[in-house]
Amino acid sequence: MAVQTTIRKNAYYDSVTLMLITKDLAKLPGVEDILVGMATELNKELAANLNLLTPELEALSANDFFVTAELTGDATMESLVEALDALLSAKKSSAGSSYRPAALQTALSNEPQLNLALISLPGRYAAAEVEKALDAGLHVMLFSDNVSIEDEKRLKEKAVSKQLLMMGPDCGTAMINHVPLAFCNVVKPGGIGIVGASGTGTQEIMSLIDQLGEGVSQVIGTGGRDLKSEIGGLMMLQAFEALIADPETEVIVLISKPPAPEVAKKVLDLVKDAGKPVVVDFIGGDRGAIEAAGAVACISLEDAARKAVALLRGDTAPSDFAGFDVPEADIEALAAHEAGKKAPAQKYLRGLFTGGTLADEAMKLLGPELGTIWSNIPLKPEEQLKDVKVSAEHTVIDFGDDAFTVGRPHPMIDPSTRSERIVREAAPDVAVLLMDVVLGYGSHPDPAGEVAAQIREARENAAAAGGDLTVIASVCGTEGDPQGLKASRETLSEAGAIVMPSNAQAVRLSAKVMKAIRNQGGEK
Amino acid sequence: MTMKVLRVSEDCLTFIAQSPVQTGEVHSTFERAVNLLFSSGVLMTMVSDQLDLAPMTFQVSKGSLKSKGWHPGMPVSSSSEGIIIGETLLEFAQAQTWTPTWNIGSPPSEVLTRAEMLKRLEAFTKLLLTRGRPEGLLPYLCETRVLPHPGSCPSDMTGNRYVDFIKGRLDQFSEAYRDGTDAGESRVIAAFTRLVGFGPGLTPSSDDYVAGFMAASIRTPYGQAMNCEKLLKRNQKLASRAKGKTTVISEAMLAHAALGHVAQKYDRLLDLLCFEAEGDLEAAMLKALEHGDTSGTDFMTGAAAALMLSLNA
Repeated sequence: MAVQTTIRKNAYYDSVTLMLITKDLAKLPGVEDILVGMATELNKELAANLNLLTPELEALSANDFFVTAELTGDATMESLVEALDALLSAKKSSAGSSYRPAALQTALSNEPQLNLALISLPGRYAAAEVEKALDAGLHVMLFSDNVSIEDEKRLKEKAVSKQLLMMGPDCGTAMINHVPLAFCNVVKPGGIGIVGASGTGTQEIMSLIDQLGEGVSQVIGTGGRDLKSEIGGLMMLQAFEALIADPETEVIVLISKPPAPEVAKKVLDLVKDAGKPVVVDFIGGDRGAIEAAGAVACISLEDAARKAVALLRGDTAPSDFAGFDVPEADIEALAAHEAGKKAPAQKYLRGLFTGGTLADEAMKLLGPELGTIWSNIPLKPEEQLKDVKVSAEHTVIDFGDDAFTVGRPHPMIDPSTRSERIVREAAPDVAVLLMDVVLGYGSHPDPAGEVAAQIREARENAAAAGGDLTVIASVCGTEGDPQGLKASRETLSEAGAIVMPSNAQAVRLSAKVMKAIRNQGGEK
Repeated sequence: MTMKVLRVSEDCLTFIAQSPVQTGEVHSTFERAVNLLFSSGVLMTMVSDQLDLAPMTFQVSKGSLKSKGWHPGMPVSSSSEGIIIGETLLEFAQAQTWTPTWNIGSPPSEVLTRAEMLKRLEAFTKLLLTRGRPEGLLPYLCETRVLPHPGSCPSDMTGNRYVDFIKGRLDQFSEAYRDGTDAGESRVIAAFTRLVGFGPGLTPSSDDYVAGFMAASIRTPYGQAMNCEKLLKRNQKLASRAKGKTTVISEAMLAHAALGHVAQKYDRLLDLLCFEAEGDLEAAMLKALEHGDTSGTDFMTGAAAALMLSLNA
């Protein structure tokens, strides 16, 4: 192992750049340890303390920039410097030299053709900015949460009166005129329009539509509270009407948690006059009411996607899809095989999700098999996890919930919140780890890669303890996404995960494995 | 070519108006800031309209400053007409002047009662621990042996290699700073020289910490071992010891902070923590967190530390 230093005299980089670069350089093969900074006496002392001080570094002054690293194997300082320069260039070109306006008014006076504002501010300040945007005639996508329900109602009423969209609060996914906004997947353009009160639910459906060979016209988000009584479905109705009138949209998909009954009625009343097929996924909602209105009901996000595609192709809506892409017999054999490897103590399932709707769907589909499922977003209040950092029995966690994201980025951006937990969750009594990996714009550049090492370690630990850990994953994304669907699936498979084509299929497989374990003589 | 300066700090305007022609060069350039270093050792910063003002700073109009073609080493001169960088004249005639709200002997308003200051400090510290960047010195608040414990630390607020290395010295500095004797002064100077220039960034983490510490200490009358004038002199002695031990930019920052003069965002925050000022503490803190990456957090960590010590003395 050798410690080597590279220096840049009178070179200055802000600490944002230095932090990001250090993190990336530390991951390079052969880099055992690395320190970057300005060559002040104290930083040199720290370097000495870390055994990273070299004569070259010693000779520098406080205004000189250094990178010092302990390298092994084939890693050389030349390759590190190349990587450093590439990262510095990437930082420069991503920052660009384009003007970034400090206020909405300056933005509009510079570019009057702007017609949508994506707002992401702490909640208590967001409403005022939304108001300004609506007053200026802009549609709004409001990413912020912690906006009061009174403000939401007032702003949505204003938006509706001006025939503008106000997507949100807490709206993380949209695609307007094929422009992806915030967390969004790259999909083919096509004839299916989606209105969603659920971020990852929308992403799952749009991704599956693309995988099934069809495309999406528009994706309009409404925010999670839109279909509560207080808001009355203002944006769902506005968006639904917009898609009814949109000539590009031939089939409409509506996604939400079960609305307030009077709101559901208002939405379903529009179905009769839609003039085009409508697929409604009120996740776990009143199927009878949906079908009575003339819409097509679904049992899962995947089912919604499949039915929308079938309708677009002119088929009548197929029956519910509750199966798998591969023959049932193969699935049963796989489940039995996985169950057969478990130690007697292994009897629990842990779901670790970055998408709240995917976690919710998992719990609904697993409920009949597992019974009580503890969670930070439980289906029943009495199943609230007492400490979100400590799982119990069967547990499903939504890492995108506020409990994990105060002061930290969402796990789709920074997967470390979840990946740090994977090894810990693989306790001796855990049989199955279930997880989602979400691709697309806004997500981490390699979310599958970020969990692969932990999956390997968790499985190795289980094997060393005389058991076996089944890791089942699904990848929400498309081949067009920056991360690549195929590559992401391969990364997870190589790490030892069983990768299923959808969240619903991953969950159903998990249920089969747990059932097979139970039938072997384990307990629920 | 001529550019109009939009806003300028009072001390910067004074420098331009009162000094004879000064020459220097461009020290460093960033997207939103350009540092100018004069031969006299004075550092002046030009910022775009996307950044707030600070001591010895002036603000020009929109656009990336880096795209203007200015580069390190380019000649700079200052006269009563303005500042010339290369072939660009920066005119100050219509610039609005920014004056810091605090100056020695003229605080912005009534100082808070001890009880109210403590209440605001508790709220501030709680926010800082959940919203601040943990990569710098923030975890020190949960690991110090000298400061009062903040009450509750996030369970994932663990140390990092910087805190692990420097926390003992930060403890020594904090303890010695409050000793008003001559022996105390020697100790604090010694402690300071053992931590100045430590950490990543143009203004190393420990310098941001000390800047916040000094600026907060000089604003609060509670638990002080010496009067304001003496504290000011001590701060200036400390700042002078930074010369050659840290970056030029950080030397300048510490010299200003020694006098209680800090960037506009920090000024506002300290007003809310120490004086009867109206405003939203959380908003002010979030704005201060935008000031660099760990810089804002480290500055506020130092400020919190100073206030904890003085209010619990």
